[in-house]
Amino acid sequence: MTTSIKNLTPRKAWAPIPHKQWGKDEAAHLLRRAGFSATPDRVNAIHEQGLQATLAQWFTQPSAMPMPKQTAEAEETYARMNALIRNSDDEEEKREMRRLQRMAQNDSYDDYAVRWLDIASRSNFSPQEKYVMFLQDIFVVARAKERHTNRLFEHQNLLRMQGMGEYPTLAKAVSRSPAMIYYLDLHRSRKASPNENFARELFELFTLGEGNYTEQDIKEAARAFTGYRIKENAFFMAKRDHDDSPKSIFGETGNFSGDDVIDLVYRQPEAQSFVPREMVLFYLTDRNLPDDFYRELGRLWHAHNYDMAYLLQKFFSSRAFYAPEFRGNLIKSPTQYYIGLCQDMNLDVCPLPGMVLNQLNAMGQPFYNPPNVRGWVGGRHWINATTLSARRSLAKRLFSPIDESELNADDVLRLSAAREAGRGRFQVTEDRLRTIAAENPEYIVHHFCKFFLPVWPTQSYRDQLVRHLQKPNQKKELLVKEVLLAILQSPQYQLC
Amino acid sequence: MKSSQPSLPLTRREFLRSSVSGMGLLAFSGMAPAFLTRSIAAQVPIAERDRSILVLVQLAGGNDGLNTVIPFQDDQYYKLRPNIALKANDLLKLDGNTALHPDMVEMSELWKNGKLSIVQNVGYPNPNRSHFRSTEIWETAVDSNDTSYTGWVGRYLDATCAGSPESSDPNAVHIGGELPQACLSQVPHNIFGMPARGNYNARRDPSTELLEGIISQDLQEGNAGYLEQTLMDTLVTEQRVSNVINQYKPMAKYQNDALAQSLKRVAALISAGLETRVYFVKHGGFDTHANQLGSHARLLGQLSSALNAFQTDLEAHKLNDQVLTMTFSEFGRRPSENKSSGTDHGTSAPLFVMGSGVKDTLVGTPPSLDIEHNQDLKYSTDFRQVYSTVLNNWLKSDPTKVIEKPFLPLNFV
Repeated sequence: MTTSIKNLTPRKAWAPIPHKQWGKDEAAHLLRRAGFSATPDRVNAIHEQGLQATLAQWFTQPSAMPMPKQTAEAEETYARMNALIRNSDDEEEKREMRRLQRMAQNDSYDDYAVRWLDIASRSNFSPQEKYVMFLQDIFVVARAKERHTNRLFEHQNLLRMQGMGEYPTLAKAVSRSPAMIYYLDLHRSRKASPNENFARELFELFTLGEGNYTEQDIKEAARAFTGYRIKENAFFMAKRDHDDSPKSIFGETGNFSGDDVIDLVYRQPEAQSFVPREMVLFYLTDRNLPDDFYRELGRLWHAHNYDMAYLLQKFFSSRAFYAPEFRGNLIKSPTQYYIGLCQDMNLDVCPLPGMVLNQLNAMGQPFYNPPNVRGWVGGRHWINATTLSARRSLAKRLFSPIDESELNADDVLRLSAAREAGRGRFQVTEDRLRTIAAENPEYIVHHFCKFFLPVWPTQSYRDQLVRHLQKPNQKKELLVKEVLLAILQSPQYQLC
Repeated sequence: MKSSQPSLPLTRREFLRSSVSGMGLLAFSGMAPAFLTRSIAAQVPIAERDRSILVLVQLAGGNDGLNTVIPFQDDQYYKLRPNIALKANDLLKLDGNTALHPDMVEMSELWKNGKLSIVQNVGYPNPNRSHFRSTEIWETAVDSNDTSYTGWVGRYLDATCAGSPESSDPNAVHIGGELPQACLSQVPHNIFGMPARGNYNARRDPSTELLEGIISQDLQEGNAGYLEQTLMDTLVTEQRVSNVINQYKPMAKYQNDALAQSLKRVAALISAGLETRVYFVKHGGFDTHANQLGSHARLLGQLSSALNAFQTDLEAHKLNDQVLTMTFSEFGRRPSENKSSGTDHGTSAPLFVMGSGVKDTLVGTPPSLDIEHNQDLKYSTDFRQVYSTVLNNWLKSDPTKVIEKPFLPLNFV
């Protein structure tokens, strides 16, 4: 038994769990929270590997995701069309060029989305990519505004490749990320008229949190970030537009640059607990812990130069993380529901963007497109009648074959490419249920509940599934499929 | 239809009981559709028709109040907005000082006919200029330096629905987008959501039947309980609602934009006699930082047309006495225009209340424009005065159970 958070002081809470408490339940909890699912083979593997070794493997060196070919091509198309538009004085022709630009951007975004889902669904990538989602939920950029797929990709890749380093360095890199510059209007911020949008979100949503700065701090900081520009999809400093005169921020005065502002932020004590709090809310519980727990973790993090690999390993090995009250009660995000379903059912991500992206939209989490700069609110906000119905129809979809006669040429190519790459399992077929269907009903129900649910369901839940399997004169595989579907739609499966 | 049929699980409690005994809703197979058609045909008991209903229309993004309700005699208005001030000649004048945006033709008619009330210069102390934070303040109805998990609609439901006999109808319905924070409550209620447009069909199959069976009787705590409750409510409601929507014959012309289509769905549910007391719809795109004249005109035109269609439809169905519609937006915009012919985040703004029951048509005082460049408006009516009035005079609920501090009520309803 691990220790309840109620019996832990802040100092003890972040100490590693005793070795003897690292059991399979703990391994499953870690897999569900740090990744998307806890399949039995993974549970066994990391249980054997040990907690520290597992975390060191997940959170030390990032693994790259290559830029999808279509993303690069779309940007080339965009630039080529721009040149043609400039040289044309035919309005009709220009409109057509712009239409082609939009098409290239939309297609490459779709392609990027399914490629990311495919990578994230590979179990060795899952913890890293879920952590990328965590960072994307802090350093928010939304596709609704930034339409350049390459910039969206580069922004995400920046978080991926620098996310395990020191957080202030990451924040500085983000301030130079073209997607962020564009998303928060930094490119229009000039010495003569500084735009406060980025400075406000830097303090409020990236580093300090509401209430830990003044409106005056924002106004002054905005001046330090003037002149940040995008040139050929890269950061560029327009010296003429930059305000290098003295500013007063957090009671200090100097000719601060944007980077200096971030350094100033990390001398504020409130900056220490901000990321730990975000981490707890994203990975552990949607109810806040008492402030001194965040302060303590923040103190440790600060003492390690705000290193994120340290913070991640500290957090995921802590007694707090394994406390019994935090098991199986966090609501899965739609993305986790989707990827987790694929992993639990041993399926590959379907490479058809039209289908997959619509499912994510309907569940309330369109890819790379949160509603505003705050990112996803998450928790109970994921769940309402509309989104629950979408989750249910997704689960059902995984049990029926894709109607390939209706596909367009691109989608046919996508399917055959995926199949050639050995990633062509898109649905749970009846013959895959044959082996398990031969077992007795009690065994089947026990097996499913243990594998798929983060908490052990009630007697009546299990009994009704057993009774369903005992229905006479019906095909066993069909009954098993119905039981499985009921589990995947049930409230318990929405939790992790 | 045979008279010996078992009674249908209409209430949550009955639903639970039937689930526990191993029979989900579908155990009454074949009859669920009959029950639905029957309840539509029968409409509702007379008593239910006396219930007052509130429809909230969120103007998301921060509506530019000064270009919505215009103080056209004030020279200062034109000074603050050299490029985006609306020309006095084009405006829809309400009285000697106040006019509506030229694209709000229908709403100016509603106002003249005494069906639209304008509450002027609504805001709150220590205004916050962040979209989500200010939206949160409006939806939770707490002081701007305070936070709350629950929203004001949620607390209203907590105060009125707890302990009263439960029906399978949703307590509140939101259309389009995520669940609004206004609807978050201490106790779970049946809050139903659906998309603003597109096909809406509920289907049944054996796994759903089994799912109904395994939803446990003893509700769990926390998120598990929340999920169970929501799923249960959804299963019961979605079939009923999809039938209502698909069979609805509106008696007014709704445009194709999301707001008009959302309000058409609200009209369908109201005319089907649902016990739902609060509806929440969204009209987005008001964050007009640049070149705002065209887009703002389009948004207000859609608002005007949609509200008018909704009111006309309700009147044709003789339901207008039952419904009050109110707009809100997280903030107004800065009185001074910015350099991109748009406006930045501001503070107070007018809001609209529509219904056959509105009294005073111009409430409160207009904002003073006697301000420096880039200064903000100072609110004169607190939005919680508006809420308290709606709660007390319209929903017949004690405002002190919903809003922490007492606020001076108004007289628009």
